[in-house]
Amino acid sequence: MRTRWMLNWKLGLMALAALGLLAAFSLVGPSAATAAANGAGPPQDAKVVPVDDFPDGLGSSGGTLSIDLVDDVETFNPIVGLASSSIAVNAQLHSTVLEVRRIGGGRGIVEPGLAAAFEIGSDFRQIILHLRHGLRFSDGEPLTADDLIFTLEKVIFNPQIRSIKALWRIGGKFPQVKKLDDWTVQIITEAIDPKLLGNLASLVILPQHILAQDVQDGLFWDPATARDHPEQIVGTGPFRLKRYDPGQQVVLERNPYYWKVDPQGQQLPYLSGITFRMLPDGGQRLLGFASGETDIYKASPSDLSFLYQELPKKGLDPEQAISISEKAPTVGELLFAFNQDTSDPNLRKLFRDPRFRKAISFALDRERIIKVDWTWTKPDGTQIRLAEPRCSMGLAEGFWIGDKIEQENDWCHFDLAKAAQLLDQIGLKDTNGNGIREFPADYPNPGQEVEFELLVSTGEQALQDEAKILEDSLKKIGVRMTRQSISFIVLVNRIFGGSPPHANYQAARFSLGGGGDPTTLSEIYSSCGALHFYRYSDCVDGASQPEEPWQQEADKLFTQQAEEINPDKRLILIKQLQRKIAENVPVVWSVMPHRICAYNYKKLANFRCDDLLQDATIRNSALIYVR
Amino acid sequence: MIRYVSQRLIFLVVTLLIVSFLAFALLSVWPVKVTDQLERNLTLQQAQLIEEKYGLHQPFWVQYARWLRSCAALQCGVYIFIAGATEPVAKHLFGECLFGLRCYASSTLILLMVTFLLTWVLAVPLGIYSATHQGLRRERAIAFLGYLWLGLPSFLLAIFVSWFAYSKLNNITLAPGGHYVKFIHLMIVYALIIGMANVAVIMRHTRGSLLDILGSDYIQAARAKGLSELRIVYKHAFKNALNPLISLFGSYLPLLFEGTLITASIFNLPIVERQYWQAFSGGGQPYMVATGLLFFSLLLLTGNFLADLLLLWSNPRIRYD
Repeated sequence: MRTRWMLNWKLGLMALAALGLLAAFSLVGPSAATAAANGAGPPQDAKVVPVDDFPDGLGSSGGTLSIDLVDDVETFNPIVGLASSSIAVNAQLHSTVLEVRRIGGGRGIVEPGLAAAFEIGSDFRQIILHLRHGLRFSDGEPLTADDLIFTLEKVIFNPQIRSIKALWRIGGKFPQVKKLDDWTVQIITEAIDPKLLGNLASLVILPQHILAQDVQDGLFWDPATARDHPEQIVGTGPFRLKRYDPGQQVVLERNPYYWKVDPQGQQLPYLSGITFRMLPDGGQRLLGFASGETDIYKASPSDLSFLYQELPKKGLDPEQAISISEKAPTVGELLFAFNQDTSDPNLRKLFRDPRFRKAISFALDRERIIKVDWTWTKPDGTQIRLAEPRCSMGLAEGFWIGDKIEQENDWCHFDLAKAAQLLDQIGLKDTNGNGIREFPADYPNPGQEVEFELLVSTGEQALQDEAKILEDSLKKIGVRMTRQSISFIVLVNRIFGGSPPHANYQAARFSLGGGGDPTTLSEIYSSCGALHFYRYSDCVDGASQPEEPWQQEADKLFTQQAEEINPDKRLILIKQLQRKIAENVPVVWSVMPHRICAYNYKKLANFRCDDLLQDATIRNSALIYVR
Repeated sequence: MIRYVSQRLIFLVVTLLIVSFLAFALLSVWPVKVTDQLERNLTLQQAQLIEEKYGLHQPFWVQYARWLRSCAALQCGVYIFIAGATEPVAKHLFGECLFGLRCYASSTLILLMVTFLLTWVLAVPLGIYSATHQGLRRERAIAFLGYLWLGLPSFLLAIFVSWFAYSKLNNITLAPGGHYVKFIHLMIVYALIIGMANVAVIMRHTRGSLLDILGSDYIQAARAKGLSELRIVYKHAFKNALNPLISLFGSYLPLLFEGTLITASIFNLPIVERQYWQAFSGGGQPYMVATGLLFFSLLLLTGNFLADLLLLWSNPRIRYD
């Protein structure tokens, strides 16, 4: 569940970038049509990557890169690729119709990708895409407008296939797709769709010649196909699949038909291949990086001392090899959730009371959590914070006003006295003097002690520590919280299980990766979002019917911001939305860890830790070369 | 003899059937359902199509019957990938080749054989030495090490050996990381990690059993007759001390298989246990889990069956008929 949301986040960032573009989009004129090259090599209409994108200069071909994945690849289908491992691999196998150039502040501008140019109609309801002439899939077959139309109409819009189709609907309808010629496609939307450019910036083109038969049931490019017939996994990315050993490794090789060149005209990528090793054990991954078997490593706080000690032995300066991003580009939701539909009538009423959720937030000592799990002392004695408190939903930097929300709302700060005061206001009192409060008369079962069970996933020490810290605080203010550690898969099932989803938990501590754009966060915070785990009953038969006025307003704001084309007006709506949600604390946000990355800078050129998205998704891999 | 073997084989099949039935019954109360996963990751129609095709919503006894039929065809039901594709459980669990990263059955077999040989080759001589040098300082040192190995959980040993190899042996890493040749090269290290606790067990059994025999009257008589100690120990005593060890062998095979799981998970070894664990922890795939349990039971029963045959061979006085 978490993983699907990661995918949505990616799309969200693209959508965000698209909005940046709409403010001042520039039309790129169609390039001269050229005949496709027959053999391997870039198309004549290749995209020349600007020299500024090569921080370490231009490179030469050769060398491989190795990086570890935590899990196996679930699917090689990029449309439904959900988990971070699938995303990491599929990102190297496919390119998008348009691309996003990041310009800082969580924003970006959309620029040509597989489409050499795009024209936006004066009514903002249509876009004409001019595909590059001579494009070829990684098996050498030509890519034409038919493949783009096939991808949209037969795959993305196909009701039989679970994809991110919701992002493509506007006014309840999918856009019309028309072929103008073999390299030109027109897309017409029902109404102005601010997400359209973002959608195109995450749209990969699938090969009709391979998938025309398989696409009927939507179950294509599964791991068994990749294992037995890697040549059938065909894309337009810088690399193509060479070998897949389930549970062990994914070996990619250079795509000889890749469509980008460097400023000197040399075809990219420079690397001859990428190997993704699969190693679930963190210790083995750490040793693998320290020994030089892998080149890039997403580190955890407990790895830092070891890396500082070991990297100099390899001739690497830890200060240069390790990057700790104070504000990670990936945002996410790390939270305590309270099931407002829980079967216990007392707890259901209590969890629906925002004062209780605020009391929990007051009782959560975020600074202590950071001190216990997210602080590292450097060899020179300097203390480094590796996480920051979080009191609002996670959004990309350009949208996020969490710091203001933190100042505006005192419940962001640990204060047990205020927490106790709020519990008093609710009427929860310890009448029998045993240290635990009881429910008052206006609750279904008065006199029952205030006690709930918190589910925590096993194996994550930081989560266990957080839960323990909250448990200790709550005990002091007369609330009994019991912790139950369960496997991640069972936890996910109890929170997001079933179709339609229904929750089977009282409270839970977990994290969701991704986020970024409010449209994707609506999956959690709008009434009919697929991940509306705190109160599924807000959605009845697919229709939003929340009881709480604030939730009604939030739903409205989600819709308004998604349809607002003016970026300034949209930003105002997004700020309102953040405040509205934060004020009502539907979940209790915890801390947001920084991203820690280490890489072999002496080997890899044109790679920076900013290029490592999530666990092993490498951005701009085509530009990396081995020194 | 033939009657006995036939009886044991029938017993083996019946026990397997009972175990498989119990495994399926247990799975019916497992909280995570593959159907939930499918419905979460596919469209409702897609999920329903798969559920219908493979009878995932049918009562467990219907699914059980389907699976048994499928096992007869050496497929053992279907493994369902998270995105909806399927393949026979037998192929997913055991692989379909002889050598390489995808040949889980043969890799497992090689690893188990190496571990088995290493364990017994180390343990039995050490046990004999301990029995024949009782009370000496060296014997006490071996006993101490034996207890240490026995008390050391294999996951801790795996982690310790990993860090030792990295820090003391020129940054050697032990995870094969997708290299089959490295996996084969390091096989003896994995075998040591997996088998160490068992070395101690077998060593203690050998020692105890041999000490019992060495104290018996006929050994005293042999000594009185002036036979050499070497002849007494290896020709007369050890052969008779074998019986308890052969019995131990019966339960050793599944123990070994289970012990391998932890090491396989830490180093991500390309073997059956890792495949099984991954499928198991990824959700309740009834056919996969049941096939795994059936396989473990088969190992246990086969081990016991072989042990009985070995006992017949080693001790002509034993007659089951």
